[in-house]
Amino acid sequence: MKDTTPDPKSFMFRLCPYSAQCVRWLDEIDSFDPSLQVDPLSTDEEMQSYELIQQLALHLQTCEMCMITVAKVRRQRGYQRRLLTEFLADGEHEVTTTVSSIMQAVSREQQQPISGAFQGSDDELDVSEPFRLLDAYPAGQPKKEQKPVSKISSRVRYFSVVAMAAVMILASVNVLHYWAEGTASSSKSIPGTQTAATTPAVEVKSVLPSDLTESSSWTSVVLSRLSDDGKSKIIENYDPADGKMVQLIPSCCSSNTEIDEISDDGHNLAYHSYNAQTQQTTYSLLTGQQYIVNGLGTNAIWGTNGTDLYVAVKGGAGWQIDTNTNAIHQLAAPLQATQLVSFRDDYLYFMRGNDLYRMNVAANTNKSTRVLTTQANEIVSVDPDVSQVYYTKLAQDGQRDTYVVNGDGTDPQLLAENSTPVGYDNNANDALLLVQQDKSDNRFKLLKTSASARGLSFVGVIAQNAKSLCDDVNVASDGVPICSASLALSPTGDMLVAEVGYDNGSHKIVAMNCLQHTSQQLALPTSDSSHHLHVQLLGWDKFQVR
Amino acid sequence: MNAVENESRLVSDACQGSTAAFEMLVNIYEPRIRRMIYGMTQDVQLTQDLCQETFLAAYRALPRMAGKDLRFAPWLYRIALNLVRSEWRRRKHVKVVPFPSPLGSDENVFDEQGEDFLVYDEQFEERVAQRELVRRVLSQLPESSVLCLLLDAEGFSYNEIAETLHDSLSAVRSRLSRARQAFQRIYNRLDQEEK
Repeated sequence: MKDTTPDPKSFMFRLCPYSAQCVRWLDEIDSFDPSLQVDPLSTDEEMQSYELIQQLALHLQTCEMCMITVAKVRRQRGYQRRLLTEFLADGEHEVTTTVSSIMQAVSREQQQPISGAFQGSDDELDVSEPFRLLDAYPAGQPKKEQKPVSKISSRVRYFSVVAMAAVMILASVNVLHYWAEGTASSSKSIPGTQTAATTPAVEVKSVLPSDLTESSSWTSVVLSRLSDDGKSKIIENYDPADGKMVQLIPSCCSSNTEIDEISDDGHNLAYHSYNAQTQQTTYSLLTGQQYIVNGLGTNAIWGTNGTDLYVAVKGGAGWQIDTNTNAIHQLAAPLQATQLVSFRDDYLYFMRGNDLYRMNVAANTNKSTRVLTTQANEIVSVDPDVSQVYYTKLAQDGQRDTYVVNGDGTDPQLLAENSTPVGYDNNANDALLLVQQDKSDNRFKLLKTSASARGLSFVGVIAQNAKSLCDDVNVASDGVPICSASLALSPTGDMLVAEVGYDNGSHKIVAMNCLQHTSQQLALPTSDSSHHLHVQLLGWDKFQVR
Repeated sequence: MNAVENESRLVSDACQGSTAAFEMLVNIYEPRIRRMIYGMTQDVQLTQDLCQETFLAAYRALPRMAGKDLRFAPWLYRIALNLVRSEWRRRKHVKVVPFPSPLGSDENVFDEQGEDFLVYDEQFEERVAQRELVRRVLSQLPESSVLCLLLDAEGFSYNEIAETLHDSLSAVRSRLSRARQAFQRIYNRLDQEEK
C-alpha cells in the first residue's frame, strides 16, 4: 500500500466537498435505517446528527466521487478491523486463562469479610486467620501490665536525628508488637512486656525534614502519590499559601501503603501496610513508632486527644494505643470490624460489613451496638457531638445521595441528592460540609448543614463545567464523580482543596476559600503532568514549610 | 458487541450476590478482557494481574449496581481500561503499546494528512500484516486512539465505545475516524521502511 497514490484529485470525477463528511460518518451511514423514526426525546445534537446522516446517505446514492471514496474506505476499514481482530486473538492465545485464579480470589474474598460479607454477631469471635499466632499461647494467660515509657517531647521527636532502637513488645495477648523510637541506640524491651524471640534488627528512622516547622494552625495539605517508577508511595506536605511542598516522610513507603489519618492535633499521621508473606500489618506514625499486628489490619484512626490510636484486625480484636507512652490496651471485646470509622465522645465507631456499630471504649464494655445498616462501601460519617450520623447511598440512577440519621439510628432522612460529605466545620458548631454535583448547570457546589443539621445552605462553587472531583481511576468503579480522596477540607472549614477533572482529560488542583467564596488553581511542584495528577488528598496538618 | 443470551439475568443475579452467575459472566467475558488488556500492554504477567483485578473490582462493585439497568460489557471494559491507565501512570516504563507518537500525541496532527490516506492500494491486501507491525503501529498512536480501534475491532458500537470511555458520541466518532487515518498512515510508513 502506498501513501498518496492514486490521488483522488486525479480521478476523472468532479471533486466533492462532502467526501470527508461521508468518510467521517461512514459507520453510521452504513447502519442507517431510513425506516426508523428519530426518537422524539432525542437531544438537539442527536437530531442534527440524524439529519446529517440522512442527507449524506441520500448524497451517497448520487455522488460518484463519494461512492468511490467510501467504497475504498470500507475496504480499508474492514482490513484494519481484521488486522486488529487477529492481533487481539493472538494475544488471547498468548496469555493463559485467568478464570480459575479469578474465582479463587472471589472465594477468598467471600471468606475474608472485607467488603460487606461479614455476618458475625456481637458474641461471635472469629478465631481463624487473624488469631493464628494467638492460638500458640495458653488460654487464660494473665494479662501483663503495661508500664509506660517516658514521653519523648515532640520537639525531640521531630527535630533531632536519632537512631531508632527496634523494640518488640508483645502486648497483653501477644498479638501486637511495637517498635518505639527513643534516644537509646540499642534494642531494649519495654518493662513489663515480653521480648519476642526474634527481635528485629535495629532500625534507624528518619525524622521530619528540617524544613518543616510546627504551626498552631491548619496550614498545609497532606497528599500522597506514587513515585515515577510506581514502586513507592510519597507523602508530601503542601502549603497552599506559599506554594511550597516537601516530603513529609522521607524514604516512605511501599506502594501498597495505605494512609490512614492525620491526628486531631494536626501533628501526627498514621499509615499502614500489610505484608502478605509474614501476614502482619505494620502501623507507622509520622513520629517514628511502628506497631505490628498479626493478620490483616483495618485502617487506623485517632482518638480526639491526638495521642490515642485505634487499630484492629479485620474480623477480630481491636486495640487502643497511647502513642505517647506506647501503652497498648486490648479492647474488651473483639470488634470484628471491617473498617474503623471514627472515635467520638468515648465511642469507637466501626463497620462490620454494611453495619455501623459503636462501642464505649471508656467504659471498657464488651458490648457493641448496631447504629445503622448501610449499603456496601458507602461513606459513613459521625458528627463530632454524636448527635447525627451521615451516610451515603447509591441511588438507582447511579448517583450517590447523602442521608442523615440521629445518633441512635432513628429518623433517617435524605439530606442532599448527588452529594458526598467532606468534613466538618469546627468553627460553626461542627456543621457538615458536603459537595454536591448540580447536573442542571454542571457545577460542583459546597453546601453546609444548618443548626438543625437537616437543612442546607450554599457555601460556594468549587468548579464549573467539570467532569468530576476525582482521579479518573477512582471514578470508574461506581461511576460517582465525587471522590473523598480528591477532597481535603480544613478542620476549620475555611479552605477546601480539590482535584478537578475536565472533559478533555485535564486535571487541576483548586483551593476554595469557603469564607471569601473564591477559588484559585494551585500549581503543585510535582513531576506529574496536568493531565494526570494522580494524587490523593489526605487532609490538613499543622506543619509549615520553611 | 453481541449481546449475550440471558446476560441481563446473569448480571441481575450477580448483583444479588450469586457467585454462580458471576462465574458465568467471568467465563463469558474473561477471554475478551484478557485479550483487550494484552492488546494494550503486551505484557503477559501484567495482563493476568489486571484481568484478575478487573473481575475482582467488578465483583466488589456489583452489589451496588442496579442489575437490570447495568450495561455490563461497557462497564466491565471501563474498569479494565481504567486499571490499565492507572498502571501506565504507575509504571510508565510499562507503556508498551500506546507510546506517544514521535510526532506528538496530539491527534490533530493526523488531520493534516487530508484525505489522501483514503486511497486504497491494490497491493495492500496482498501483504500479510504481521502482528508485530500492528503492534508497532499501535505503539505510535495516542492511547485514546488505540482504545477506540481495539474496541471497534471487538465489535463495540459507537454508543458502547462512548459509554466505555466516558466520552461523547461525537468525540468517539471523530477520534475513531482520525485513528483509522493515523493507523493507515503509520502502517504504510512502517511497511515501506521494512522493505
